Amino acid sequence: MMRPFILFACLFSFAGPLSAQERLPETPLTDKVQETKAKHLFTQLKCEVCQGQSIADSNAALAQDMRELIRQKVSSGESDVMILTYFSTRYGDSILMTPPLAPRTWVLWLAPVLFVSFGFFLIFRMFRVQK
Amino acid sequence: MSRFSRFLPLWAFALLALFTAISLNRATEQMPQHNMDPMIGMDLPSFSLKSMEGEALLTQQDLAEKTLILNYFASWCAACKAEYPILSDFATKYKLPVYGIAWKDDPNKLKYWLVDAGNIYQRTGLDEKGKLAIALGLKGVPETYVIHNSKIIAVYRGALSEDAVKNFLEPALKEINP
Repeated sequence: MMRPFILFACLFSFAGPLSAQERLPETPLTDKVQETKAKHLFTQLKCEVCQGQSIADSNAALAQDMRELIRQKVSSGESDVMILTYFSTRYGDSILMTPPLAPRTWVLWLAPVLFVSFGFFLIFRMFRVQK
Repeated sequence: MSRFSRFLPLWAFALLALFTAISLNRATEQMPQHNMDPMIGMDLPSFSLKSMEGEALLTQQDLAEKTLILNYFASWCAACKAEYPILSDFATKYKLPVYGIAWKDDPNKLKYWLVDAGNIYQRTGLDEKGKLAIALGLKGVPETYVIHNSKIIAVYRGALSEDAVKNFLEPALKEINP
């Protein structure tokens, strides 16, 4: 007898957060070149509240606001660099899908190369020993 | 194959792990925890928001007071209610005015929420489009900023706890009032 009430209570508890996630349809820019540029920028920014997604693929409220802001900036003639810099100065480089190559990111960029080189070295060595 | 070379991949992995741990540790030691947010030191962005106080808009000029707390919250956010007593205690302790900005909220629900929580906000703005939120590097609600002379001097992203106040907000206040 209690089951329907418990189910209702569970569903109701999700109603608040869902109302906050209501989304309005997005309006693409009328200029197709600008819209393509904006869409390309969406793929270069990470969704801050998702796991490994760009804002292009995210349904999060923040990602939708970011897309809208990018469209505004593209239509007002801002360059790609200016738009990406706007976001990275506020969220840090971690918002960029491709982190910049700088002294503090050398390990990040070079570690895979070192790992692969080391792997090749080990394979080469194993074959030589077998011979 | 000697015993050392048999475990060469393991040694190499251990060495790399050690190197990574040292690098990460040095990176966090170089900068105090409360200074790591990219928004620290930036000017408060210009904005003009609808407010809960009738027709009057909330603008950055209203926040030009010497030192204040800016709290991003929402009536649908449970963590915002949970941090409320800590926010209130922090504001009382340092005698700082608190300004609230509701993110993506319904003014009707917000009105009841403020009454229920015991409104501590001097004024409450409504960031419906989330534009100011992005200008402040917001990742979600709640978030708390300490503003001094229209500059952001401290940021805490998440629900405030006593540790968060001690480690992120108070050090900045001590720097301006040693």
